[in-house]
Amino acid sequence: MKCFFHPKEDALYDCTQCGKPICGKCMRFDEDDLVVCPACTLEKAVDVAVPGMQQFLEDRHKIHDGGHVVKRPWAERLDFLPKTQLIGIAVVLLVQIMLRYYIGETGKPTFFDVAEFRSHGDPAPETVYVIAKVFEYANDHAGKIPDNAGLLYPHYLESRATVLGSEDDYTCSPLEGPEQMVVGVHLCQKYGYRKLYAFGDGVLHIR
Amino acid sequence: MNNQRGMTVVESFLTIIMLALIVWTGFYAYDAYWASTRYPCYDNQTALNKILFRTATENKREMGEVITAYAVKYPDDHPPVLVVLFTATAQYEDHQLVVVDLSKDNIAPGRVVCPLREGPHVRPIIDYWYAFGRWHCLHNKWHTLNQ
Repeated sequence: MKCFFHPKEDALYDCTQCGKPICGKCMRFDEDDLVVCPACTLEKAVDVAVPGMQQFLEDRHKIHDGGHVVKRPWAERLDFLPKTQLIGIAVVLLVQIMLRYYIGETGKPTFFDVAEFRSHGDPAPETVYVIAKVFEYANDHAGKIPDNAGLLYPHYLESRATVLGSEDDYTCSPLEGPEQMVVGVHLCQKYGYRKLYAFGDGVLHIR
Repeated sequence: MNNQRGMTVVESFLTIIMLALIVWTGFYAYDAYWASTRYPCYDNQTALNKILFRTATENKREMGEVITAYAVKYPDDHPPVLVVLFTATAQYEDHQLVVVDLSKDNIAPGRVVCPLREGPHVRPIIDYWYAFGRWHCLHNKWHTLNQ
């Protein structure tokens, strides 16, 4: 029998790891003083440095021996994927799905923008919104009514207090007497109202 | 291929994805926290909606004719009111404003404001506002019944 690595040399030993016949030149000893071939010594060193290389080399040996590469199961093929990160991603996704289910369609925050008011073409809902914000401002400032609706922006209104997105500002001013304040639309005629305002009781006055 | 911290490219990529997912999930957690108290608020809105529906029926109106409605809670003993504004129609040539005394419906003043609202107030409060076909909670935007 000839040496696996030197075909002209007679084989003197068999590798205790892979069983290949080897000559004296190829003989190596592992840490247990067993005879091994250079390939097994090298494979062990490479396997420590690059995980999975051992399997790769075994596949190559099978080709060399006239066999065919046996496909490894998917679980082993995915060994290069880090399990910690994958488990983390799965957990976070699960938590997110649970939160989204809990929030549902009703728990999403609502935002009002000028376009929504404008699309309805009536300043009354927007007026109520401004009145509510005026009261909110006053309650945060010891009952003081803002001198003008411009003070509501940006902390109380998302945009400047203009009627239906036009250039017409809402009017807001504190009053003496039982009315206490007036909030309204100055040029309300063009929106179909002759009067559209509210006093300190918050009730709309229209005509 | 390892980088300087000893992570492979795949590990680094998945770590970045995981961190992005955590941040994204954080937004949902924030929404869930504020929305967690919405059901008592829905009860208040449902009660007001019943009164609004009844008011519309009494005035021979339909819910679609309601331009806006809102509840006002006062700081003094003044009973809370529900203000309803109906649109002008062929039958009703002018806008119609109806003010409903909620104390007659045994609606406690505390039920016309968001349950999350705390502390005394010196001015009226408008928390519940009907517009665009649904009730809104102006105190907490996560309490609006989006349907």
